[in-house]
Amino acid sequence: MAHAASTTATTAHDHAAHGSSHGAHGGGHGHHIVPRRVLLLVLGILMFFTLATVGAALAEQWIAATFNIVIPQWVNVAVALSIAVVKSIVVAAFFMQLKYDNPVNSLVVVFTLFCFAFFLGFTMIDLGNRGIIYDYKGQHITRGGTGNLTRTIGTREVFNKETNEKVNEKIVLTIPEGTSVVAFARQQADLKIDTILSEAMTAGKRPLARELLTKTLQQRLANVVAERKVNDKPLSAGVEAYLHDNPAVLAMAHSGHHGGGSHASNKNSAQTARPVRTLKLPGAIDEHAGAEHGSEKGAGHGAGESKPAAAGH
Amino acid sequence: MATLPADKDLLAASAPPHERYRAAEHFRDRDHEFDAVKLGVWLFLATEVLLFSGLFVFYGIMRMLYPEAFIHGSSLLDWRIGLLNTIVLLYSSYTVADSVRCAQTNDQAGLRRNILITFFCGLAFLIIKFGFEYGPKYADGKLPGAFYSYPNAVSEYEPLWWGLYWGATGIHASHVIIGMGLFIWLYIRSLKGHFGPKHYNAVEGVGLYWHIVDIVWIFLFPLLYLIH
Repeated sequence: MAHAASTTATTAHDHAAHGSSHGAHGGGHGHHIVPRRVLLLVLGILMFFTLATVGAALAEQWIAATFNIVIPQWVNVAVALSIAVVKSIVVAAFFMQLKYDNPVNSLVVVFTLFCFAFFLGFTMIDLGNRGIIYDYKGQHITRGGTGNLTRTIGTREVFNKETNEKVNEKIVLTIPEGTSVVAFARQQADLKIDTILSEAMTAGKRPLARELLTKTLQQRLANVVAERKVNDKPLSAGVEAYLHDNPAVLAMAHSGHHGGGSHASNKNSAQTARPVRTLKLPGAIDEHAGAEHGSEKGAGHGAGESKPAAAGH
Repeated sequence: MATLPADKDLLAASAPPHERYRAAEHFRDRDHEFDAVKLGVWLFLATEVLLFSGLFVFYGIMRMLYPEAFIHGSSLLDWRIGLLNTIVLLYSSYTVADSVRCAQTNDQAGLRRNILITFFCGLAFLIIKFGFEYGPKYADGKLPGAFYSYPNAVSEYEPLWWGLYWGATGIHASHVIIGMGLFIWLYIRSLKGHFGPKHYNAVEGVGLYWHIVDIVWIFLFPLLYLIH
């Protein structure tokens, strides 16, 4: 078999030489026969780099553990992607014969990769720099999952009397033992429904704020109800009772579901990332951490805060 | 393919179909057709790359925002299974490249053997994927978004990680299934003697498609299995 392969290899080269003379005037064709030993060599290189990428990942883990150092994320990504790029180039050049091919095919590949780089690059630049350019939006694009069973449910503004300026303070909750973080996040989302509910009811009692608040808050509640219905999740008992007394909100939820429902449910796919943003109400602050703070500002605060949140939608 | 036009002036009707093959009327000759077919397949592969690029951008965004979810999620995958699948796919890429070579050198037995091996490599990939990965993960509740019910999450964003995992590997696996269907088609045609040095457009085209499936896996493997 090896003998046969070498014979065909010779004929292949003759053929290729013939082909390339055609290629000079634009009608090049890709009938190059890649010899079997080249294919086997390429396979060997690919296997080697596969083991190298696994080895690099294991070595990185070992180094981090043995010397007790934290290796930054980008090292892992850079090593893995560099090896993957080399492997892809080898596959494209030899298995897919781009090396011997009409260059127009390579042009298609380069153009595709350019589009991909554009797509990925600009997304990353946007995401990485939002906090700098657009400060108040930057807060909402926070990384989640602290890894030690606490989570930040939001931020609140605190007036620092010494420096005379407002600072943002994180509100951190500890997750009770035995509760899964995902289940906890879902509970929090339910708690926020109750918060909206109580806000809506309080607003209804204050005539001045009624116009401004009742509508936005009830609309928001309706959105949440619509989402929950879409996802087939049970509503908390308080919400059920409120809806029973106020069928208008339920009607709003149904119309919202048919009208702009998809918009709302898309926003909620991250479960808690979006509610933190849209529900920056004093009541949404954790009871343990911000009880006295919330009651201090309570009345006027909610009206002011609801504006940017509503504008965000 | 049932009606391959025969050039009766030059070749006897008894010659195998691949030798009697003539390019479609709107092409100058077989080489012209071959180049057009190959460019067409490459344009299709460009759309495939753009399809997967959406997933890779999603990966970039979510890993940037929720690194803990990704690291913990990845630690629940067994890299040895990923490695095994990588080796299976790389080997199948070799057999596909070799089947093109066999067609070019009129090695009919080698062509059929390589197509069959590639088909069974695809099957092995799917068996490993479903048997050792999808099955247990489905049973554990490591599922995307609202379906997620695994109790031992470290980050609340882990449903997003599993959404990416199932989405990316699922779309990739569906490409493997489609590829296997194409290899059955190639095998039947190779039994009829449709492929030879003068005509192997379909082998080349399906081969290119299979290589791009392989390249996507080359990127998915380290990004999904080897992060920490």
